[in-house]
Amino acid sequence: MIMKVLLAMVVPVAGILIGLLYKGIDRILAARMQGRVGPPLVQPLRDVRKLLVKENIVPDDAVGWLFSSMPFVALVSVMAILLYLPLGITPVLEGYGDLILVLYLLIIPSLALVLGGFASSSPYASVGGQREMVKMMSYEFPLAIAVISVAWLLYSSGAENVFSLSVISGTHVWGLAGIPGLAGLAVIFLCMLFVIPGELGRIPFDVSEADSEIAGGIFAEYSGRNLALFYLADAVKAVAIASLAVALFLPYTVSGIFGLGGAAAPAADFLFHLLKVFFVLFVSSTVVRVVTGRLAISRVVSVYWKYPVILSFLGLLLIMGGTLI
Amino acid sequence: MEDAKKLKRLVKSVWVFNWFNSCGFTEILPVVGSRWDMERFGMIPVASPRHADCLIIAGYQTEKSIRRAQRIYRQMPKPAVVIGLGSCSMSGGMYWDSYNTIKRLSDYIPVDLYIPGCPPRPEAILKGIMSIFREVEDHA
Amino acid sequence: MISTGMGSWSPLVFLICVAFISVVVQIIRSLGEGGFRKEEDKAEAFFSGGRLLIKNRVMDVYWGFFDAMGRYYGWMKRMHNGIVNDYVYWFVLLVTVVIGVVILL
Repeated sequence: MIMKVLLAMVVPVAGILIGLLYKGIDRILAARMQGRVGPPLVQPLRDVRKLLVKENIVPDDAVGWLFSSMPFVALVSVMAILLYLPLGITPVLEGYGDLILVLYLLIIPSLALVLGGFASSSPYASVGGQREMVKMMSYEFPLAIAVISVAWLLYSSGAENVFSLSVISGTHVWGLAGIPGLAGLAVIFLCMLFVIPGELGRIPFDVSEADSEIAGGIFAEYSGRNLALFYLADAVKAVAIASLAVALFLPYTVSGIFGLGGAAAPAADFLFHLLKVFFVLFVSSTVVRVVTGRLAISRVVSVYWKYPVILSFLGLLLIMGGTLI
Repeated sequence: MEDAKKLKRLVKSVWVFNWFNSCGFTEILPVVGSRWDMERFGMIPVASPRHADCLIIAGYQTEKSIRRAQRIYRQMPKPAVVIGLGSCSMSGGMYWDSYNTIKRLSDYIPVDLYIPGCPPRPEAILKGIMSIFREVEDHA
Repeated sequence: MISTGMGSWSPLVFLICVAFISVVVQIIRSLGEGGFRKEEDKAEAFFSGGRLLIKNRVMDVYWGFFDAMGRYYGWMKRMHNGIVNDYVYWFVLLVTVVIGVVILL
């Protein structure tokens, strides 16, 4: 009980630091892939410290209370998601929230971005907010199908409480439905990796914060500590969504293999979880961001409604076929 | 927090906003690119003056565009640094005799650093930025 | 503790955690600067240095929602053509369908 309360206090703060670490690693690796040297690893922390000493300008015509409170809401909600996800160890708030709650909570940071954009009195921010909202509507469908497919697979193989994240990360889903199920799960994992850059707002789906098109998009009027809070929210959201993908599809633990026990087992599992999150973020966010360019908003909608939806339905059919055989 | 401490935090991560008419940006592009990488010093180009710490006014400015540049300078959150790039900002440069361009940038905007050249090579731009870093460190 | 057949959520624990996290975020927020020294054009909207003249349409906070969803409800707007006969026909049709569904099921 005391351990749970302590963990509930430590995990969100650790989430911020881990998120900044991943942002730094992402920038270094992207720079090396482009033939540059890249900033030092602590550069995102320096960015945040610099943003905290700048003035905080609120435009005259902006809706003041909405403008200043949206960064706060974004960061608080995304840190609250971390408490429900299994970070190698069992989730901190284990019986108190499940997968459906995490799916709903993941909408809140994006919605805070949209509202912050509309509350700035800038045409660039309105366009950015509208684009972010359309993109959000587009990627929620493949994300929901991917999550429901895994839950359905667990349900049809007899587990109870299929939406509880400790059950999901305790069962290894890859072998449950035979060869068609394996193919279906691989296809659905691909859909999930496809949704991750859209959710995080990385290239090719960073239409809402486009630098060259709409002058900063949603963040056009934000400066100083509000921008620092949005920056931190973006860093923590990467950890949250990648931890969700790892919990659904790659829930392996290391302490069983090495036979560790006592206090060393959760630590080793946590470090292995960080490694898995790095792998997911590298494949879906860093490599894709370096290789591709930005899509136009109409193409974002058509890309998200066509390919991941078809792929995820195909995966679901394959999984169903696998359980029937 | 006094200004010296703020500037010390600022030089670790400088975000740059470029304001230019025509030929000023051509030698800033390689500084952003992979040969004279400026991200290793923490500098990235941004698109809105609200995010920017450093306003680089590259090349000549006409009477029309200097009014916009002044508004952009006022819209930047302070502490901020202004760099005048090229000889057109120092003395009018190639357009010293023109009826339309401004001859000295510091009459309109408080400039912290001039980088001479037409346009200055990326090494000169980096040397200028290094001198800002060194001056901030000396003052702290 | 709210629980459906498949999942469960406890709002009280959620609110307690959100309260604690809000304290942490407020500490981070207070490390930053609160306001700004007012100068002449500082708080105008950024428009590449120009002055923003069209303010009414843009200041409408919900413009983005209307514009993005416009394609999806435009057909409904066109259907509302103001002729009462059409409205009555739609009403009769829908009541028939509803009664049919209620009787059949």
